[in-house]
This record gives sequence, structure tokens and C-alpha cells, in this order.
Amino acid sequence: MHVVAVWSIKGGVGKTTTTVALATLAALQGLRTLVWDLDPQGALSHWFRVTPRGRRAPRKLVSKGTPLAELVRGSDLPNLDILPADLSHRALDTALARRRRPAARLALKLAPLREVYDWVFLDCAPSVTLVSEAVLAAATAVLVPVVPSSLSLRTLEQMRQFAGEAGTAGVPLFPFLSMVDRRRRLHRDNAQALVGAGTFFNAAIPLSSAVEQAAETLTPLPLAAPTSAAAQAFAALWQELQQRLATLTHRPA
Amino acid sequence: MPAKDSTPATQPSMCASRTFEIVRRCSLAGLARALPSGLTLDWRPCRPVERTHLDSHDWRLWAAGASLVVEAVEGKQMVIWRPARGGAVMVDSAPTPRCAADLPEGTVRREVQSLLGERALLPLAALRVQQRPGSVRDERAKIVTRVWWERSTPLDRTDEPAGSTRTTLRIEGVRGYEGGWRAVQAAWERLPFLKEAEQEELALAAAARGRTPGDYSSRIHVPLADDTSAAEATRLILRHLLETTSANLPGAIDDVDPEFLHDLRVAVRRARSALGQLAGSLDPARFARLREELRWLGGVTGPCRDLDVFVMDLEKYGKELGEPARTQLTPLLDHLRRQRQRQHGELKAALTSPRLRRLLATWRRVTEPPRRPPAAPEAQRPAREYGAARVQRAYRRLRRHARRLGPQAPPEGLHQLRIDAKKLRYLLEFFAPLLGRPAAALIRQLKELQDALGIFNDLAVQQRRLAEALGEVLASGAADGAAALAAGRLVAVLEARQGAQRAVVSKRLEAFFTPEVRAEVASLTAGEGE
Ligand SMILES: Nc1ncnc2c1ncn2[C@@H]1O[C@H](COP(=O)(O)OP(=O)(O)O)[C@@H](O)[C@H]1O
Ligand SMILES: [Mg+2]
Repeated sequence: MHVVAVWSIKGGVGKTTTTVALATLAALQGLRTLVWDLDPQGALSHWFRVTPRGRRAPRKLVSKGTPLAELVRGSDLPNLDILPADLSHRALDTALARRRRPAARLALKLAPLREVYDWVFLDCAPSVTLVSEAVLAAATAVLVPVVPSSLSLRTLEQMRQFAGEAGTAGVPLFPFLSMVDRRRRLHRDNAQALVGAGTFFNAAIPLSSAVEQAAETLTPLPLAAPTSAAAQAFAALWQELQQRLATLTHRPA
Repeated sequence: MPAKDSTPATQPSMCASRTFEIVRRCSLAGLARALPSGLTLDWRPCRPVERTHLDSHDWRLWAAGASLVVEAVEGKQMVIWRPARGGAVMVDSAPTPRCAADLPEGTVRREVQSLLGERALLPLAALRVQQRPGSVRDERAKIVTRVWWERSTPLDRTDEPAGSTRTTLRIEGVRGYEGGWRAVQAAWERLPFLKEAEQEELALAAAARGRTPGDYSSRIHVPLADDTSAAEATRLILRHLLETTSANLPGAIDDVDPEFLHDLRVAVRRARSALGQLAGSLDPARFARLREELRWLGGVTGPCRDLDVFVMDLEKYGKELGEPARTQLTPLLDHLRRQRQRQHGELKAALTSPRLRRLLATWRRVTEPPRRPPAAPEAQRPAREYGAARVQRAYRRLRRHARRLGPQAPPEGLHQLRIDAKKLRYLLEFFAPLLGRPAAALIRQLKELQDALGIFNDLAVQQRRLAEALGEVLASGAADGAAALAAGRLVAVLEARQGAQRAVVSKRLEAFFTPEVRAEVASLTAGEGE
């Protein structure tokens, strides 16, 4: 089971869009896939029209007694399940803080699903919290969407620092370019420099109206416009992610 | 089939399905109208689907409550895996998978592999289907139940329609939407034109190919009645083993998977054992020829099977030892695989020979119901009594041999015990239906002993064969010192394991001759059994 977090401390950089696209591609490939919506805004849950089951969901998500499996709901796509969120999930951080060893909690909760799912994606909130710490501890790798503007590299540096302080420096952060506007000089130059330097994924996601239209109709981009440039960029990102994880020394279960 | 409601806590909850037969004309609108408010039903266009059910020759997936189906829809081929715990997974698979390893790496492959083992996937049933997929949605337009309206016709082995067409409505719940699932079932159960389907699609379609789910198992099961005579029991056992042999012949000839040859050999061994151990109930003249010929068949099927086993063992050890040993053993494995292919050529020649045809004809003839009772001393004894007596004798013999060998038995001695144990096992299995619970308990205990003896023997055989094979590849120049070193290291590992295994064998032997087990054996003739 690969656990991939899509995380950035910035909002609106394409985290949810990326999670939806990658999870859809994994599911289409016949891999059993779970997406955990960790953002109380519930944007990803909305994409899939899935709402959390029952009350006190945030507490159950981190409690010892309730297996995650009981909170999982099937999406409309084959092979794709969702652990949904809504606004009440803003209490997740407090709920987590009350547990013993909170940072290890998400990994612990995911462990029983090891033979149930091939891929787990964590769609994270744009924040640096206890939940983020737990995410870093649970993830095999962290994808970081970076919009090529001047401030974004500083953000990435801050995230690296946080990962180091959280004692999870071992988990690889995989930055990739998101929402690249080819018409903007700054974007073009930054994009070229960043990918050229080798720390970024080769795949870069272009800013595209196809993405907005897909979001409008609540259809994952790989299904709504499979031949669009953005969909193909996501497919390339998915390939690259699989290759990178296959070569990680960390042996996937 | 009733809806499954309980789910183990670690699995995502419920993903049950149900199939209704549409017994009268109905309109699809009627289905929509029956739904409670808040639920809507939408349909996608009708489409042709070619569906094939895959399973092993011995129905391992079916027996585990799972299913693997290939569907060709609109030029695309999909594999649908439904594990016993529920929940369907769809996997793109352009060529139809012929074994678990053909599936893409992941949880599905691992699950299928763990059920199938070495067995190949065979198309055991196929249907031509007109299908209309649909969805029941809630107020948020979220799918809560999936629906398939289908008209399906089974296809025979030549993919021609065979058997009657039926119209069904299959519904499948979506994980986490149990409320909607229950509402849909409650609404549609009441409809007069829907009846819970009585027969599984798999069973219906397999019938068109002359198969029935569960119709083959390598386990021996001869239905013996209390009033069966010893002669009749022996005849039925031999007849059963003839059927098993015949059922495995095509697969062994075509080399579909190694288990066909294995099962065929076991059936032949059992038959030879029956002819020997139950000789007192047989007319010796009638069976002399069969006995000779089975000996021949046992002989000609041996080399190929031995190589099958050795190749699998070496592959396993390669994995266990890891690199570089694994790579260093490759020339050896290649050599053995080539040898195995040659041996299979010879096996095929034997299995398609007139001699084999005659053997089967003889086997069939001598196991027809005889016109006169056989002239044999034990022929008319009740089978139960006879079987129990034979079991007791075989047990005593095993015990005598074990005692004579003592705790320091040489490997050849343990080999003899292994054969004694096997004979006892066969007898217990032949007469199990008559001997009841004590026999079942004995089989369980005996199995432990046999496993221990088997591992010990395998380790000895593997060391010998490894040395032989190494000599051959070195002589042919196909391998160098690296292979020799790896083989040498492996032999050392096997030797050490064999040493450790001896202690296990001693313990199991002791456990099998305790007063309790002896009392169990004695009880076989004491009471009425049960
Ligand atoms: N490549 C893209 N091209 C155009 N619009 C995009 C692209 N990626 C994301 N968006 C839009 O940007 C907004 C924020 O994206 P989202 O994925 O929700 O970001 P995050 O999860 O990081 O907050 C959404 O309205 C989304 O439709
Ligand atoms: Mg988001």
C-alpha cells in the first residue's frame, strides 16, 4: 500500500485537483484506491458528492475503537473509495491532540487497510498543524504542488524545515509545478529553472480551462477531458510518481 | 442468496449484491416508480457484453466464495474480481489472464494468487449478454446502488449459444450507503415480476460446458453406504480414481498447469495402493493386468513431476536466499526447465499412446459392476468392518517400523515410514465416510506426521538433485564457478534444515503413537462408529 499525501501550506495551488486526478487514474488502472479528505472545507468530498457518515466523525477518525473501514464510502467510480470530510472536521486537530502519540495516529489508523487498498491519497488542508505532522508520519511520499511564482520556493523551504522538525525528514517531499501559466513570462522562466534544477518532477500541470470545466461538472479531469493537455500532464505526473515510488528503498507492502 | 450483512471490522463495510429473475414482462419504468421518494433510477444505453467466468479446474475461487470474470464490452476487456468479503474491483486486462501472475501487481493479484496457488485460470463458463447498466441515486445525485438489467445466454465450449436465455436484474450496494441499498431492496422485493434468482449464473453457464461448480476436487470422496460389501467398496474406490485420472488427463497432456499431472499421479498412486492393500476383497486374476499397467503409468509420469517440483523449489529457495544467489542459480534453473520441457514431451507421448488408452479401457472394464460376486476371501465382509481392520493393520505396521528404527533412524528408514504413513492415509480416506469422526481425527493427526516426514524427505531429495543438476550444467559449460558456489551454499542450508527437521519428525512420531491415538485406532472396530 502506497500512502501519498498531497500537501502544501498554501491554499489554492491545486492540491485537491491533483488528488482527484491521481486517484481517478489509479482507480481506472484497476488499483484499489482510497482518498482521505483531510481538509474541513471538504472540497474533495464535494467533488465525489460524498458526505461523512453520522455524527462525531472527526473523533471516530482518530479513536482507537472505530476502524477507518467503517467510515469509508464508495465513490461513483469503480475501485475508488472516499473518507469524506465536512466543516465539523475542523475539530480533527483537537481530537488528535487528545490522543496519545498523536503524530503516529494516522499511520496507526491506516495500518489495517494495508491489504485492502493499493493506493491511499491524503488530500491535506493548507496548514501546518498536528494533522500535518501525522500526515508526514503516515505518508510514503508527499507531493507538493508549487505554483511558479517568486514566493513559492520560500514556502517549499519552510515545509522542508517543518518536516525536519517533525522528525519525519525521511519522508520524501516531491515538488511539482502546478497551474503553470504559459502566457506569463515569470511562470515560464521559473518553471524552466525549477524543473531544470532536477529537484522537481518533470511533469508540470498547465493552467487550463479544462480543469475548471471539470470542477464545474464534478467530473474528474481524466474522465471529463482525457485528451486535454492538463489531463495528459496529470497522466505523466502519475507515471512519474509510480516510478519514483518503485525506486524508493522503502519497501511498499 | 440473502444479502450479506455482517462484515469483518477491518474491511470497508458491506458491498452485497442480489440477483432477481424477471419472470414476467415488465417495463423498466415500473422499477423506477417502485422506488421511494428521494431515490431516482437512470439507465445507460443497452450494450452487448461477452462474459467469461474464470476459475481453476478444481474451482478454487468458487469454493472460496470469490469470482473472477472477464467482460468484453465495446472493444474493451475488463477483469472483474469479487472477493468473498464483497466489493468488486475492475482491472484493465487486455489479454485474458491465464494465471494469477498475468494480473497487474497489487492487492488483487495477491488475493487471487493466494487462492489459486499453481493453478491456471480456465474459462469454465461463458455467456453472451445484452446489458443495460443503471444507477439508483439519492438527492445529491450520488449513486447508492448499481443496477444491471441483463438478458443472458450461456455459451458452450465452442462459444455457441446453448441452454436457455434468462432475464435478470442484478443489484449491488455501494459501500457506506447501506440505507439506500436497503430501501432499493425493500422496494423491489415486492414487485410481482421479480423473483429471487434460484440458480447462480456460474452454475447455469458452466452446465452448458458440461461442468458443475465443485465437480472436481483432488480430495477423495467415495460415497459408501453402511451395507456396502468390501468388494463393492473397493470397486467404487477404484472407479472413483479412474474418473479422477481421466479428468486430469487433458490438462496434463496440454500442460495447462502442474497440478493436473500432480493430481493424476496421486490418483494412480491411490489406485495402486488400493489394489495392494485391499487385495483381499478382489479377484486377483481380474486386476492383475491393471496392476501392471498402473505401475507403468506411475513410472512414466514420475520424471516430469519430479522436475516440476524441483524447479518450483529452486525458485522458492532463490527468493529466500536473495541476491546474488538468485542470479547465480539461474543457469541451473534454465537447465532444469529445458530438461523439464523434454520430459514433458515424453510424458505427452505416453499419455496419448494406445497403451494408455488400453489401460483406461481395462480400468473401466474391471470396475464395472461384476455379474458374480468376486472369488476373494474378504469380498463379502461389510465394508466398514473391513476398512477398519485394514486401517488398524496399517497403523500397527507403521508403529512397528517406527519402533524398530528407533530415534536414530537413518534417512532410508524415514523414507519407509513415509510410505507406510501414506498407505495408512489412503486407507483412512477411502473409508472415511464409514468410519466417521475417529477417522477424521486420525487423518488430522496423521497429516502432521506426514508433513514432517515430507519436508525431511524433500530436503534430502533436493540436496541430491542439486548435486546432480550442477554436475550436468558444469559439464555442458552452461554455468561457472559462481553457480557452483551458490549451489554449494544452498546445499549447506538444506543440510542444516534437514538436521533441524529430524527433531520435528521424532516429536511427531511420538505424538502419533500415544495411548490416546492408539485408543482412537482401536475404537474404529469397537463400537458402531457414528
Ligand atoms: N491546472 C489548473 N488550471 C486551472 N484551474 C485550476 C488548476 N488547478 C486548480 N485549478 C483551480 O484552482 C482552484 C484551487 O484548486 P484546488 O485544487 O482546490 O487547490 P487547493 O486544494 O490547493 O486549495 C480551483 O478552483 C481549481 O478548479
Ligand atoms: Mg483543497
